[in-house]
Amino acid sequence: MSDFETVAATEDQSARRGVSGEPGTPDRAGRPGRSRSLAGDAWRDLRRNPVFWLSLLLVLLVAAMAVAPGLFTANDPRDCVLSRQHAGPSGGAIFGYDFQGCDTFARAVYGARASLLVGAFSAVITGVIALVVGMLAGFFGGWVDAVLSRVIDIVLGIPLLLAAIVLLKRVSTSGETVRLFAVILVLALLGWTTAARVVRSSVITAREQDYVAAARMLGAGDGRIMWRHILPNALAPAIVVLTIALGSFIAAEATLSFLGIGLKAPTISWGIDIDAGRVHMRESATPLIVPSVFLALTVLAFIMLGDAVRDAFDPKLR
Amino acid sequence: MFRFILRRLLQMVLAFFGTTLIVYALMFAGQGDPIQALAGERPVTAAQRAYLTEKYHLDATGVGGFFYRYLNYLGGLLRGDLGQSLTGRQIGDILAAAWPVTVKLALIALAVTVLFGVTAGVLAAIRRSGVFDHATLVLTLLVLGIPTIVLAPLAQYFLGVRWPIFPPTAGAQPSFRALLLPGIVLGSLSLATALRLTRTSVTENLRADYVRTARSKGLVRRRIVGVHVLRNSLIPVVTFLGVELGNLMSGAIITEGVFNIPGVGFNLFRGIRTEDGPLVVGIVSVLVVVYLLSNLVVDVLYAVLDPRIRYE
Repeated sequence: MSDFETVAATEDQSARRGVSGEPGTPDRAGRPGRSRSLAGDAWRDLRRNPVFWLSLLLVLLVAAMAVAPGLFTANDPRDCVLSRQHAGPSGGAIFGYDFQGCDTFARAVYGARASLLVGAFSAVITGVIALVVGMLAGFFGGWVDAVLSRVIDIVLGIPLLLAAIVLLKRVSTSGETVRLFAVILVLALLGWTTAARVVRSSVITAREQDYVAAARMLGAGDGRIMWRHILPNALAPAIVVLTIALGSFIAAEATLSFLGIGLKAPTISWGIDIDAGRVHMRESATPLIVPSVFLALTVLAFIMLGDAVRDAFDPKLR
Repeated sequence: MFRFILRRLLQMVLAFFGTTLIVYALMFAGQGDPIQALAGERPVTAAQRAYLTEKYHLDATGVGGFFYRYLNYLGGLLRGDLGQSLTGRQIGDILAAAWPVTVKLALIALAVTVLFGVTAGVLAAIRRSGVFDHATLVLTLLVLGIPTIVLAPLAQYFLGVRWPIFPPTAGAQPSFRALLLPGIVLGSLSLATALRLTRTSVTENLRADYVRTARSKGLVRRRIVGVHVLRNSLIPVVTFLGVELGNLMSGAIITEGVFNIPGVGFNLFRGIRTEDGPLVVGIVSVLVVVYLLSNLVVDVLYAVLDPRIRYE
């Protein structure tokens, strides 16, 4: 990038900061003709980024697997016959069969659902907690901020895996659905802190803007300012953090299931299958490798997607 | 400085009470039958029930009874008495045997992190936007994105079973060679973070005024990078490594479980598998204390290493 362009970009950026209104509302206040919105700039960057397209493709593929696993495999993952133990590829089972005689590929495909459910729900709950806490702490400041920030510090100081072990031991005998929601709740309760800090700092920045002062002068109450004026500005960074968190929630779910305290059979989860495949790796390694690759690619896809979007939205990196 | 340490210690005491209370409450209190919870999914005989009721003062009910038992547990914890596991061994003894192994593993992981992470980070920063820089960035993203439960079994399979370069599992008295592969797996995660941290911090410092001064004094590049820049760039890395040491101690559950290393994480792994409630609570309590302590040390270290940072 030439010096001229750098200068132009900085100027453009400062101009944007001065007049930026709520995203979504048309902004006609004397902007120079060529300038774009932050989101527009980010989109222009993302469109040319192959990492973004690759990770988006992977995410959509896994989402499709979670919604309609029947499209990817005709076999039933729970149709296990011991006589096929560690048998080679045949009859649609392109990666052969595992120790129990189940179709390795079908199990990996059906495993996407539990992972994405846990990841998505944990991310949504995390997002709600983070937005509420970050908004209250950032907007009101003072003792509210002091108390909430200490709470964030304490929760951040709890090691996730250890706490999840203790919490999940309480539901050791519950059914399939209860377990799924227990895992989601535990991950969300322990994982909201980073997002809350991000929201808090962007709320503090937004609070000082002219348009907030203008809204207040027009007689808007705290609730309206928070909801209509500050929230839209705090949302973008929060969504980026949550995309990355979604990937790590999926990894955490698989880790807990691997340890035997997360999801349990008959739920199909990559973590459970990796653990089962590990035990018999000397006889046949494909039941270990297939779910491992699925899990690693899914987690990677979400992390790369979040990374790419964050880079695009961060003007400092341009 | 003194006031900061004092305040930080007070905070830690609060966090300690809070965490142990939560751990204890979740494990034992408010459940239908604490004795059944203690034993897991197994039958309990009448004699065992009577023994456990007396031992843990379970006949006292209500909030008073709960806090009586919690204080009892806390007193034991402070005296170093962690009680017995369900197999009848003293948890203190189990941990005493396991710590040296875990510390050894954590140190190997740390050495791998420093040796490869910091070196590669400095090289990537010097040749910024070069081939090496891009390659390391992609590699670190891969390592950060791949969970340990994928990395550990696959490393064990490919480097231990398929091409037997390393021993696939460690025994009761693990040798250095047996701990090498688990150490690399354990260290790879912090390696990626350390590399990125070093790279960013060296890049920033290369632009600093004192580097220009050193260059205009006529110092050779090797000396500028090796002495002036490195010393200033390593502050965030050192503090990060401090936090990581605490993480490595507790984060070794998967690695030790997979590679069969008889450390603390392995015992926790086994405690979870065999539904050994007292063992899990004992180890988790100790690990939480280790975690809190390492965080404290790092906070203090931060202020000592970088005089620009002032608390108060």
